[in-house]
Amino acid sequence: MRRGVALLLALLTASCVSPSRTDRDYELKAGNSAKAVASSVATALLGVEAARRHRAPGPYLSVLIASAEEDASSVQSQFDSVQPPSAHADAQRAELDDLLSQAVDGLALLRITVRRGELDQLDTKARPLRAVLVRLRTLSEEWQ
Amino acid sequence: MAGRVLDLALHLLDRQIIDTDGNPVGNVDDVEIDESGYVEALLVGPQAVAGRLGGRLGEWLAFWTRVLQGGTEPTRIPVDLLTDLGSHITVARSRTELGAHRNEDRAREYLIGRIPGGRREGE
Amino acid sequence: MKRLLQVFLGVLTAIGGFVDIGDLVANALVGARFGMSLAWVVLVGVVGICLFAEMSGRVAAVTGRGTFDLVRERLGVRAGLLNLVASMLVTFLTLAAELGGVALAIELATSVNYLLFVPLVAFLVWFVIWRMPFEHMERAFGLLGLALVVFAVAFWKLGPDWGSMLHQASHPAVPDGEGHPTYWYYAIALFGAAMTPYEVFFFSSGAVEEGWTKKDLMIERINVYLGFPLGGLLSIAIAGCTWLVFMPAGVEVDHLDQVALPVALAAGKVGLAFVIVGFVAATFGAALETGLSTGYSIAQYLGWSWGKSVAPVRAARFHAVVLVAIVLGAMLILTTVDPIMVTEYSIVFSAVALPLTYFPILVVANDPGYMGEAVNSRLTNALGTAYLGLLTVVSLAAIPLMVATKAGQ
Repeated sequence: MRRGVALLLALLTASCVSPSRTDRDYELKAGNSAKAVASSVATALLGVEAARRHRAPGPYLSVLIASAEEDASSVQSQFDSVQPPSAHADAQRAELDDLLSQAVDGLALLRITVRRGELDQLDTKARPLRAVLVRLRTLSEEWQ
Repeated sequence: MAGRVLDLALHLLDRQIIDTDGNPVGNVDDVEIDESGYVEALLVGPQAVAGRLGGRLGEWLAFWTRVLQGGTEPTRIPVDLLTDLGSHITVARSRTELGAHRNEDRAREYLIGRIPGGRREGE
Repeated sequence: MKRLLQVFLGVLTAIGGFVDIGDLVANALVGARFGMSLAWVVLVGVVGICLFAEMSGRVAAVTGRGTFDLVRERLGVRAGLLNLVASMLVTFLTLAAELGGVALAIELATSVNYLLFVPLVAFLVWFVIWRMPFEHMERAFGLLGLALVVFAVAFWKLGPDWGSMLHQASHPAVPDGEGHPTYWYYAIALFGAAMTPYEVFFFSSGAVEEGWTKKDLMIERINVYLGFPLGGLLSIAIAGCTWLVFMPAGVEVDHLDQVALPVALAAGKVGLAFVIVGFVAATFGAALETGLSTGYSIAQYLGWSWGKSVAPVRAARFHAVVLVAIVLGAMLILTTVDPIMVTEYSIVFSAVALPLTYFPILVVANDPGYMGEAVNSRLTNALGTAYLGLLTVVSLAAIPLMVATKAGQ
């Protein structure tokens, strides 16, 4: 019984964040984080597209964008909590973290805009996020 | 009915028991046998199931039955009350008379009976 | 004419009732990551559920008794208990997931946090079980669930390359960038979502509730053999929509709101309205079914009176179990655990429990003592046994794959 509990705990913790041992590990983690946030940003941008074509109402968009923002924010906290193992990793961390912050801020701005009912402004306000998305995708491919 | 030779597991145990009004009484959870191998009574109730499960599982079930239900004895149906022994077993009494409805009553009294609409005929 | 209408409604109800939160999440997720390369799993799952639903319906019509009742009688107390516990745990988890699903769907329409709806949803689910006649309940939610057909409409409007789609579907291959273990993990999840155990108990208990006899078997078979495959096609359409919209954008599906997006893009606000109605109907209907199934399973095993067709006070323990199950399910969701995650676990654990829950049905349906002449045909037996082999493999592989892929990451 106790062994079973220990095994279960080991399995559960293995699926949580674990410390990076090598540069490669860290890079992969960074790549995955970039990919995850790219997914959230892409979702929000698709929502903006739906708004532009008047195909989605405010309440739905606000849920869609708020979820995307929450996800991105939680990926950023998780990534930030991982210890970079070397100076090279430090540089990757700095670059990605900056990008993640831009993503989260951009999504927050969209969320606020939607909640204010200013659906027609979404397209303009989403512009900076498009560049962020491209950059995130590049990094996620580089670091996979 | 007296003197029939039965394969207990096949014909008796776990069979559904229907009372004289057509209501389900429960399953044959266990049987009482005398020294010569004659079945004396059918036993119904979680206490009897616990006895058959045996081991740790049975003890656990017996414990929770005592806690939630009180009483340590299963409902006992003497074998002379049996009227039919086919795909289910019919007995010559109503389940109220047999006392097999205690739990149902408890659930009814404390919970279901208090919710409006509980007594209306079902659909 | 009236019979024809009945059959027609029955098939529609089966289609609309086929999809639940597990199918929604699994298909949406798989479409975005794997495109059509896992569509074959849905087909295999549909054949399986048709096979076993027909069997359990036939058993109920011929014997007039429910699955768990017969399982215990035929296989004994211990085997019956194992079957019961496995089924109840999985069904309970599914119930919680469905309750969460209804709340999430309402959030999509109102933008009010889903947690606030959970108590209301739980109460409504219980209330419908308490008051609404069985047949009306089934019909209403099944037909409303047809609103999900908008996924098929959206898929068509999104203009898929039919040639490439058929090629992908008929030549299943692990896509670039995905590993084999992940592919098979999601195959199992999709399979567990299509062949959920509760469908079969509910189907057979429902047959007893509605008083089916051998005469109704023909209609039952039409409902199953037409309705379920069309429901399966609907599931594939869901995957198709997320494939066309999300795969090129690199989006991974984590939320119910994402599942609706392709429909909004293709079919506008009207389409979105249909989707949300469909989500609510499908998950609410499934919540009713899983709630009732927890009651059915334990009542049938222990020999209590059960069912909606008697006055509640005469089946008090059955109703008490249903009430408690709904309350506990709501409480689980109220712990703010992610309902999508609960859904994913429920379908994987369904896959694990499959052989335990289906094996007894095959045994009972084969027993001439219960079935008389209506025993399984040789073909049914051959298929049933083959499926049981498959279910065992799936069941054994599920947990190791879940650990190896960290639940599909």
